[in-house]
Amino acid sequence: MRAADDARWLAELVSAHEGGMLRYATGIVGAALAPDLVQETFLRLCRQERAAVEGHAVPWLFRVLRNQCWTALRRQGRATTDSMLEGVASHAADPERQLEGRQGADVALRAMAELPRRQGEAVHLKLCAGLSYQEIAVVMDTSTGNVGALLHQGLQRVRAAVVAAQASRVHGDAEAEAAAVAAGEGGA
Amino acid sequence: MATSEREEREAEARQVVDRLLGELDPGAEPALQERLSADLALKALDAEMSDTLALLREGLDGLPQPERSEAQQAALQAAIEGDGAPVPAPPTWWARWEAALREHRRRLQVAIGLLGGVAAGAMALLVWLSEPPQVANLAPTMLEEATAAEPAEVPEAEHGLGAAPEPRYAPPEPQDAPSAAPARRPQHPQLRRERRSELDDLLNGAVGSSGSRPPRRPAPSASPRPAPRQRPRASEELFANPYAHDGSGASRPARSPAPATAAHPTMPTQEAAPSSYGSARSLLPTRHYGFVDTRHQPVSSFAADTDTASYARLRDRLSDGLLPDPGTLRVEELINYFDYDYVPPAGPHPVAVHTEVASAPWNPRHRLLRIGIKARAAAEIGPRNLVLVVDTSGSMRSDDRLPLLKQSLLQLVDGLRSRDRVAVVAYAEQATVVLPPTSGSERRVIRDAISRLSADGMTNGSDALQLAYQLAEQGLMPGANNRVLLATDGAFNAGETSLSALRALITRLAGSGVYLSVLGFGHEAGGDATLEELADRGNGNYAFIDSPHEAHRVLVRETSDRLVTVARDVKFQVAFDPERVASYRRVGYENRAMANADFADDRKDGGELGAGEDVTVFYELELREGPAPGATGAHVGSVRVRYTHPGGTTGRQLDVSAIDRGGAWEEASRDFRFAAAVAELGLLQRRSTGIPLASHGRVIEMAAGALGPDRDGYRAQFVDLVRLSRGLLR
Repeated sequence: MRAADDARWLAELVSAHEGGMLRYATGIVGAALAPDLVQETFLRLCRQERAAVEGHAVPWLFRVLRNQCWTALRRQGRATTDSMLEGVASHAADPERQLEGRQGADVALRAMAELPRRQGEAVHLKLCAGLSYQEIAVVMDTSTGNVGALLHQGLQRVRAAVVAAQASRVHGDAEAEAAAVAAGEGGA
Repeated sequence: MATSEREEREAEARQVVDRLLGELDPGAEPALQERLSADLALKALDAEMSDTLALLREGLDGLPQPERSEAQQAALQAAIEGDGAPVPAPPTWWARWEAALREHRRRLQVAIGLLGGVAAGAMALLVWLSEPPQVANLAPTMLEEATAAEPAEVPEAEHGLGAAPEPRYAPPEPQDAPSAAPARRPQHPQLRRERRSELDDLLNGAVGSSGSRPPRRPAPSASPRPAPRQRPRASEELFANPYAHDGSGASRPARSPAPATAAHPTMPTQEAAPSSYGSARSLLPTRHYGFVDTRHQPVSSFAADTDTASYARLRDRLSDGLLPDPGTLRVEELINYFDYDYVPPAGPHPVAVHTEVASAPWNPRHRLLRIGIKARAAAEIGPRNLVLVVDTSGSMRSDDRLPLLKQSLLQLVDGLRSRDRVAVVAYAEQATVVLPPTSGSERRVIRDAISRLSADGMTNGSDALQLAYQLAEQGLMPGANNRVLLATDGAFNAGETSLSALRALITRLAGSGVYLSVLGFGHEAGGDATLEELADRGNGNYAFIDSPHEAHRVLVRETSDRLVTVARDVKFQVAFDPERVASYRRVGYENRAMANADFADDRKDGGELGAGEDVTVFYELELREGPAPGATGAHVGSVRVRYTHPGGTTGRQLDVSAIDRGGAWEEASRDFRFAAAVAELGLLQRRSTGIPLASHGRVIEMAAGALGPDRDGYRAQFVDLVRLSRGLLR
């Protein structure tokens, strides 16, 4: 039996972060697996002492979820050393989406999925889950300053890819499209 | 030294990112604001980064949104309540809250959204009313500020998150929405667009009309945030390369000269907008107006452009009581809408080049170089071989499209002569030859064919163009004006939809000696850039037709001479004297920039110049400190104009010196003053920076003082238009 106050605390955490966590996990492992991992994370939360988590519940949730996602990827043999945003990558590469006239967003997503792993992770935690630098630092086990640097480097690369892709669209040049990808990889 | 400067830049760039992500130390905010208003490159980065973030968010919003299954929810609920033991009854208010929330989640979200919308509208109205427009040109800025400043308060109201000072964590009330992400995305472009439309509504008297808000996405796991914005050509609009206009791309806009604007009371955009970050719209125009340091890049090259569509669109918007979208305004098209009395060429060249330098009306510290070229008038108008390609797709049905087009074409028919030839191709799903090539003497046949056109179906423009080019090629008259006239609203929604295929087609067919003119109809901005590009590929002109008056102007008055090309591939190159000129910016022609190396390359496409046409270009110059120019004036740069004869292959070049005699704009020629007034309006409408003295009142004053003979009344109409726009802004 759990005290009413504690149950409420848990329920609030669930309702407040479920959406962000689902988005986050979807970006890594895809939509099929995300609910299970989020569920497992919440169940683990329920097994924790409140005092052990309270005060840093958000980074705790995302850190547990991140590790689960990572494990799941590895189990599927999809984990590579250079990226973990498999969900984002496969979404952006979905040929059906190419027809929707959202190239700008897709270029950005592709560039994001191709970022070096740490940069991509920081961007993902920031934009998908809306965590603060401080929270991201806890999740990624690094300093707040380093989070800022990772985000900056990552976003600069995405920006370079987006701008280059735009230039290629304006000039209708397939080669520039390739250059856009190259700029995204080597830029910043 | 250099290293530390680079580090400083890096640090600033990081701060820009921090700020866009809401992580900038508030203490650092004012200093960064100052840097942003002083450094155009940094500002460009800010805008691009903001756009990138918006795109990433849009993209991430598009990811699938799974939910935990009901079984999972029940299992978790049991776990939360603890081990299946009897659950202590939660406080009744909480139970009711939660039950109600679960049951009416969607309705609540909509209601919250609507409430937020009303609140946002009210807020915008308050912002609007609380700042009386002191000067006419404050108003567009306020519009931007009202949209840009909102992240401070409105999004919270919008999302129903209350006044939580730190919205990233869970709000005290349980909500099924993830509070984190939505509360942090005040800069989502759709929000801005909505508010913009609300503001438009306000302007039009529809206060508080929440019904005009786009529906919210009902996805249950999504927070109440608007659907991802559909951006038909956001890419083109938002991601114009800020450095594109310096040609080689190698140089960067120099750090702005001592910002005259920073302390100027009539220039509130920079300082007053507390969080213009994320407002791509407010930043977009300024990116195009970076000054280029002559030490890095003394040479500026671009292709001539005689299109005038932007002016017609501006007039269209203002006549409807709406403010124009700054992103769709091309200043050069405003300037070139008007005729200027430049002296026509007397020598062997078909074009004459004139330069004039005076003070910049909008910034007395700067000089304004005007380059005007005038094409030879046609001695006699040769025969015309015209193929009209008419879009009869469903979207052309409205009154401002096909009916207007038919009316325009009938006017054109009146001017036909027996040696002219006309064919008509209509296209919807399929292209059909409505009228085979027919002599201009058979006007009734031609009229009947045009009158029969009606709109339905999808659009397949490329087939029609191919067919039209075949017809034009079959009837190719050497020495005649062989031209395809494409009339469309730009919605190519079937067949070879991809623009690149169309581009390739037009470029290929342009090689056969047939030119392409595009007439744009309808309000949608979406087709605008597309149409312009198609015309460019086809060595032709692009005009936007918004009224019978404009139709007459383009089709009747101008087809007669304008359609006779006297110079092909007209390009400009200006080599500034770095000793005299510290930095410069070109006013307009953003999408006409070319690499300096391409200027002398005759294979590279430039602009076409019809008989009697003129082109006007302004460069705004920041001079170095030095003695005032003497009586002979000071050489500020060399202007080169390159062109090819319509039948020739080798380019020819004219060189002219630009001499600054130190005069003020008030003493400049009438055409200089009028064109500068038009340019100033364009800069105002595009929310350009660095125009401390610009105002609608002064535009009116300048233009009204430079009407001249004004045979067609266009200049007087311009003055009326600016009065109208000033009235709108009040």
